[in-house]
Amino acid sequence: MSDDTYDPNCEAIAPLISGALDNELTQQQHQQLHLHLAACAKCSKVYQELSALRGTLKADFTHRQQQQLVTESSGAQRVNLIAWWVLLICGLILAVAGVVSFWFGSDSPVWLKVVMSLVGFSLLALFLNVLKQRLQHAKSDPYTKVKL
Amino acid sequence: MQKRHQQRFQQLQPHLAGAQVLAESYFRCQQRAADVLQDSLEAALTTEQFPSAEHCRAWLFQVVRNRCIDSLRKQRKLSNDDSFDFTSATAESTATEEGYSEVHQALAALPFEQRDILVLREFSDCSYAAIADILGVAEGTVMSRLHRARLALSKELQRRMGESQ
Ligand SMILES: [Zn+2]
Repeated sequence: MSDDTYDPNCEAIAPLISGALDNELTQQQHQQLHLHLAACAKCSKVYQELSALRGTLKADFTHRQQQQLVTESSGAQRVNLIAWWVLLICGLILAVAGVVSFWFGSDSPVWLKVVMSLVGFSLLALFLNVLKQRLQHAKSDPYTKVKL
Repeated sequence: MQKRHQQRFQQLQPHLAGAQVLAESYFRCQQRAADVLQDSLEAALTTEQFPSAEHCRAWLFQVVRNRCIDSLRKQRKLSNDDSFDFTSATAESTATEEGYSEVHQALAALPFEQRDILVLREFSDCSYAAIADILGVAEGTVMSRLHRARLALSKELQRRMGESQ
């Protein structure tokens, strides 16, 4: 049957295409539709088109919803990041001030100053090493983007 | 009281991103959608008729949809213009902004009734019975309306694809 033949059935049957896509047809309607589709190229084409359109629309909604989630969580992440930076900078200032006042402001013997400094440097080195490992892990962790 | 709010918020929270997208499909203005969502959420936390957990999503979406339509109606009243058609008034330029998909823009260009029924079905996952209930029409007309809306969307999308080539 060619595309051009006008079948009065088409108009009555066509909405069933949507009903089929939505799983809302009765057994009888299903049969009716399938008999028609088998004989009508025009309606078969519409069925294919709408089925594809439905997929596109669903995917678009899902995509927008995910984008929405990302925007929401990135706002919260930014606040977290700023707070961590402020803490880090304050910590550094305190540490530098502490070291300076310990070396130049206190009356402790020189050997104590040297030993305490070495202890301090070792702790700092350990801390930086752990931090480096954590960062590497975080970068290669495929689950960081998963929202729990 | 506070505890009840918290409990409800925890139930609604997973659906808020979806509700925002839903509101945006009525306004296509993120700020306005966010405002309506905020209003809806406040109402949802204090209402006497809060649904059971499994109906939460559908219920929230319906509250948001009602508020969106109220807001569109108010806009029409304020503009005080009889020719102002709230069903198409939202088809403003925002929809053509970058980053919006072709299908999103095509959907935005449809008349309100068609956009509405498509969103109810494809996004809110309403059954035909639920759509008939929400729109206040007979269940038998839902299928044909949806079909017309889909055909219109398909046509609009093809028109846009043709233009951009
Ligand atoms: Zn046919």
